[in-house]
Amino acid sequence: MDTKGQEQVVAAGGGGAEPDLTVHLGPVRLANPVLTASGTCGYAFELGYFADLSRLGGFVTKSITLEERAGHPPQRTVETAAGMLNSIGLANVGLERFCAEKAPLLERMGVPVFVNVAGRTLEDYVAVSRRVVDLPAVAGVELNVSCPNVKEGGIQFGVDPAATARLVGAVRAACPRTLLIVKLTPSVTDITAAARAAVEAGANVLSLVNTFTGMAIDIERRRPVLGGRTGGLSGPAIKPLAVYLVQRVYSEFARAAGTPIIGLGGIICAADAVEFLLAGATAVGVGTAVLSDPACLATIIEGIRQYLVRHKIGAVRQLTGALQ
Amino acid sequence: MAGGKRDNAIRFSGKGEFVGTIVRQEDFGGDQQVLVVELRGEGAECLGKAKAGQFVQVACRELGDPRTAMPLLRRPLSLAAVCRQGERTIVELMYRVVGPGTRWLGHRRVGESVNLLGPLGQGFTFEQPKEAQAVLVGGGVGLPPLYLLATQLSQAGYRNVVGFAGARTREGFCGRVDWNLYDAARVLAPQPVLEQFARAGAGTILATDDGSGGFAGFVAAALDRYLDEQAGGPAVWLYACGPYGMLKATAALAQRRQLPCQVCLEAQMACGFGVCQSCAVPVRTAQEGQRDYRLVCTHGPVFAAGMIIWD
Repeated sequence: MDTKGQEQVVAAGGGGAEPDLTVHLGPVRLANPVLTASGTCGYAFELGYFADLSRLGGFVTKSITLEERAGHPPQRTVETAAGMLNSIGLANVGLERFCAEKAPLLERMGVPVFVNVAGRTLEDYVAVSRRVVDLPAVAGVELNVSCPNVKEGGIQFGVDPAATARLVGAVRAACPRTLLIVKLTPSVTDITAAARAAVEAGANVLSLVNTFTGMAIDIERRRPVLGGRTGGLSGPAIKPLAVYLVQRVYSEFARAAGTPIIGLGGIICAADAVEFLLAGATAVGVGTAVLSDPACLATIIEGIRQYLVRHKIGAVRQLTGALQ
Repeated sequence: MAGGKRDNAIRFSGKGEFVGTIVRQEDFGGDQQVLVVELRGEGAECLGKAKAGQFVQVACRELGDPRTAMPLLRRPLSLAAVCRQGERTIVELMYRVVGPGTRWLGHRRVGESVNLLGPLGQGFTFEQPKEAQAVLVGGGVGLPPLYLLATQLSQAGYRNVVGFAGARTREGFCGRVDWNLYDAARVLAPQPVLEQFARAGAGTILATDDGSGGFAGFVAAALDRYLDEQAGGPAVWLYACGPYGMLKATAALAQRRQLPCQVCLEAQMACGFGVCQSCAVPVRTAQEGQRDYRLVCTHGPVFAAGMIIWD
């Protein structure tokens, strides 16, 4: 396993010592457990006006596909009760432009960067993963398995554990030394089966959850609001669902397997983040909240630190799975 | 220590998040409000230098508290006026109360705080000769950015500026109209009747859909008639902001008459600062018949009218 982060032995102190916020995703060290969620922070540049990029625990990019994608026709998002639906359509600059235009800033940030990879075919994922893992900034790859597999009638890779395993296995074979994260979709009957399939095929880390499939209807025009008809629901409205699924995957599989979880789904404050850690997450992702509150990344990190101080806990990793 | 080292901070300047204090909140009829916010501090200077057409994303809830997670998203409001007074930056926003976000905003009182992201987007540009005529075409809540444009044109030395203002009815203008000054016999003559244009030295031609005041009909129709009457006059440069139908009609008129035209678009936004890719509008590309998308919050909201693929 290639070590992009520097491994350190950290003393788990208690009492009055400054709490240790570092966490590890395999050999990759994060200075704190807060990462950006894919699709909500672009490739970091725009976020840099509203947040100090060097303070992030980790950065997960907007999905990259092999070819540039223009995305779905408008309307691409709609606000819902304490949430939003999105049907962006994986609009992204594509692999070549990502490497040429976006990678330099990601390197400057000095923070572990995980490239989220999407594709229409297994070969697409492999082609993109192979290229991006060679970029100096890149600490690992996060596979977005919530994409329709166009070679198998459009069923999402992440919905069928066997398809997930084939995909993960292919990327693992092509990138033997890379930290491989698989982002699970919650729109399945048994998320633990998906988790197990991913890890057995070579995933090192699980991130959950991606958005829930939803729909909004314009009752005056009697048509879906979104140009893509359906969309993914995110935001505070999904937090209880996401916390439950993290807890379930942790207790049914990940704890015993030793697989770290990045927990995400509706986090807008430090208390939300701590819920996910207690449920079994090693690190957390913050996404939708950044869209309206880019300062929340720093506030959440600070709030986690204050929680540890208040409870006299020496290291944030002690919270993982501490739910009673 | 959380995060990276301080001296390695990576934070860009030129726009940002600012918390200001409300110094004026006024209802000027028809669910329309004007909000004036004062911001202090060096960073807020960039708001004072904003260009007409740029906007701010306004938080319409207490941030960071899951108990106040609605409405989730900020609301984009165009800047109607900006100025610097010493180390204070003052911004004026005009908006209509149309939903839970603007309703929350409308309930904020003088002395309370407002959280803004900005200045966002690309504003109007003007490089034409000073003798040219700038015609500002606005409808509904598209008028406020044109008020700022009129001010900035005047500050840049443009003296030949005319405003067109459209509304559904005479009570519906997004601005203060003094009907006592209005000569109904001269509907296609610019008159100093709309305060926010008049304060920038521009006369206004009013149009109402229902004919209850000013030109009877859509503002683009009034513009068409006006331009017929101006044939042979100075070169005209069009700037438009308002409902989609109005922009589309103005763009078509500009194309027919071969007039340069910038349009300030709206689109459903989530972040408003370029990360989420929500606010895409279809634009022409170099290849015939091909379409691409541009983001209203980053590449726009101002576009050359001819770039847009209209419905």
